[in-house]
Amino acid sequence: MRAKTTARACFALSLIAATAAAQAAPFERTEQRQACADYDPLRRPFFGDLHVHTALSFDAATQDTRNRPADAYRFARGERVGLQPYDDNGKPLRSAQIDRPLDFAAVTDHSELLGEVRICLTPGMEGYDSLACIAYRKWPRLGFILFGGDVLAADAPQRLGFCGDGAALCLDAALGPWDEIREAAEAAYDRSSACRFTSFVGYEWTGAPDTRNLHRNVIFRNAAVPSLPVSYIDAPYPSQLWEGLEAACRSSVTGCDFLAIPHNPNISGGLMFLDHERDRPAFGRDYADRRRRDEPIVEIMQHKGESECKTGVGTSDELCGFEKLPYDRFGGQFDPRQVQPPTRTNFVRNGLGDGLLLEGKLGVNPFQFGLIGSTDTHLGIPGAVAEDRHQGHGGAGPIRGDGRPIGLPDNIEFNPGGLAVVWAEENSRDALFAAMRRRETYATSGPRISVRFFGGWQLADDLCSGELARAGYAGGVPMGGELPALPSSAAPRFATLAMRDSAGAPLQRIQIVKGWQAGDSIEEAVYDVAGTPGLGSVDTATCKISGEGHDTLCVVWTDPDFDPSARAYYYARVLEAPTCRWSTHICNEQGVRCDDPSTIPDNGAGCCDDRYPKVIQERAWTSPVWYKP
Amino acid sequence: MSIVGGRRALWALFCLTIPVPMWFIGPGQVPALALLQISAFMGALMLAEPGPGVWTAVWAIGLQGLFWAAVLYPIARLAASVLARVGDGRVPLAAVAAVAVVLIGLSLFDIYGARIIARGGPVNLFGVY
Repeated sequence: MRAKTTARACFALSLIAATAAAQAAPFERTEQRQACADYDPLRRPFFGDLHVHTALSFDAATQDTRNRPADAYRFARGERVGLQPYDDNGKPLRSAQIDRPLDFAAVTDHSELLGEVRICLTPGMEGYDSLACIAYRKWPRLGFILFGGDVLAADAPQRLGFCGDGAALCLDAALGPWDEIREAAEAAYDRSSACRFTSFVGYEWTGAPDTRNLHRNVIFRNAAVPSLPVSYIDAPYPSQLWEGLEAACRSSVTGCDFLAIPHNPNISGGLMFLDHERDRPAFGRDYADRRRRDEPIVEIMQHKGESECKTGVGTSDELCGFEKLPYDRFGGQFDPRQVQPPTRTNFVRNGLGDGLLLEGKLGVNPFQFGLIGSTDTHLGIPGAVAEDRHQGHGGAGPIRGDGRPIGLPDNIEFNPGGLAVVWAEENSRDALFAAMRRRETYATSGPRISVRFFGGWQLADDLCSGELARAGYAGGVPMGGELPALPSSAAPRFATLAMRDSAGAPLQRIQIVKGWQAGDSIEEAVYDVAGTPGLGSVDTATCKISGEGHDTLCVVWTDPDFDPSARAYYYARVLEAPTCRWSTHICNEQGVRCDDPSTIPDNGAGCCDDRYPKVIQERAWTSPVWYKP
Repeated sequence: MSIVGGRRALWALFCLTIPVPMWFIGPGQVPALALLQISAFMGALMLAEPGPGVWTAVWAIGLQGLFWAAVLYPIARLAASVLARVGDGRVPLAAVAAVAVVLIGLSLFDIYGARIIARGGPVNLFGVY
């Protein structure tokens, strides 16, 4: 009796606390939960992963991934999980554990084929014995081609034949995995005042016409979500996805809200930042409005490469060679005939610039987006980004008895992926979602670098020695924001504070990247504003880092070339000192010496492929701040 | 056993068991017969789920299977000729059986491997078919 009374009292107190916080919070609270004890009005960086696949995804299943959504969240919260390959008794021969738990994550399995995969892998379900399902089980790689190539790479995607009339069988079967995704997110979400972990219900819309990636991850604000995802089969254009979600979510489910996050422009075959949707005419203001609202952030970094920019493709920036893929579309990975050089609309920076031009024509910038990173793991291990223990993010090659890979566990051109960082008052769904919507986010290539970035007209020179965040919010706008109207003939000032990852390398420098409209074209400039180029070094034989570096860098910088009449964007890029790439760690561990072919194991040819560097410079990219005349 | 019979038996054994390189939709090493089997299955699947991916699999895998079957034929022919010399113009059944025992015995080890047929490491003949 006493326990019951105490529980009621606690619940009442928590509601009171929640109500009090609701009055103070600058974001709308849409769910019932205890107020977070460590609410911070000046916001903190929360590290997470918003791109995670599990066994429910058609491609992950063909790679024998067996981790399910609940396992992925367990991993994100710090528990160890098993990885393929599995022995005859179903025991995993590898395992993984994150070094530091994430603050948030979203399982984003491919929405297409959720039902088909369930049917094919569940004995007794109608359709289990279809030829397509037999092929999917017996020859997983063919299943990938059949399911992925013929459905997700089609211009006009169709359901597989065994789904029956109106695809009723597959749609009905998809309810099971979708419920599992929702329930796993709910179970993992910490609704207590500790606010240790936030999970989002999500999925991936997987359209890649002609293997040109247009994928979007859809993240729902809270537990109010549609009864089924809107997939590429239902909505083959991004604008149809937004319209479909408007109808199935905002208009149909009380409290439902969403945002869509495009990823991998680098393999979009140039489709991602065009002024039209592939075979459609140029879009107008309505489209631009909707894209700006429903796609406030873009994933710039992940397992399948980095999408910021590429040297020689609209830029001469020498640091744009980071984690680049040698092809511009998915098909290039499998078919040499499809290897095409990337075009400027494959990259985020060019998209940001083109957005300025489109704003001039349409009155709205459709590409006014912030930035995040994520992993795109297909093993169900969100946030597994460490270069020195990369286990691949898709499938498994041959392994030795101790569980270590023979050769490289991943394609040499891939990488461990990045992280999404969100500046929010607390670790709750509403706070994080509101931050993503206002684009107060940034991306890292893996390390937990902390970066503040404010723009304003009168940020003080001594901001770095005082309370930068308080002054930055009071006198300017944070990353993702727009500079207020120009007060006089001033030039904009930008305050950037970066702190190293305590488990990573020291910082080398901060750069500010600026793009501005110059007539009908875009100019860009990259300024070194703090730190020193060339600082730090690494011994590729041992991967030991040496030399100097910074724990913290802070600067208030004034644009020396400001043109008040030109639209512009500014973002900060923070660079670490050089470290070994993931492949260098593994090749060293396996004793590979490129001058002795006998030391190169199966799957290890990448160790000696000169196209891929042995050393990288990990980094963070803030969301931009925009200026409008 | 006649030379022709011996040649056919050896050819079938070779196609069934000898791992041959697989390039397209690979890489890996699998028996030629496995390639033909997969191609035939995908051909049947074309009727139910026509699409460019299935069609590509049919021809890419089928062509590789046919190529290797054609390569193995003269090898079987040569082997049959050699055995026929030992057997006074006929291929000794015991010799064919011995070849079969050796090849099938070897195939019980994990000497095959291709992502198309195996998710992780190498497999034996049972893992292939």
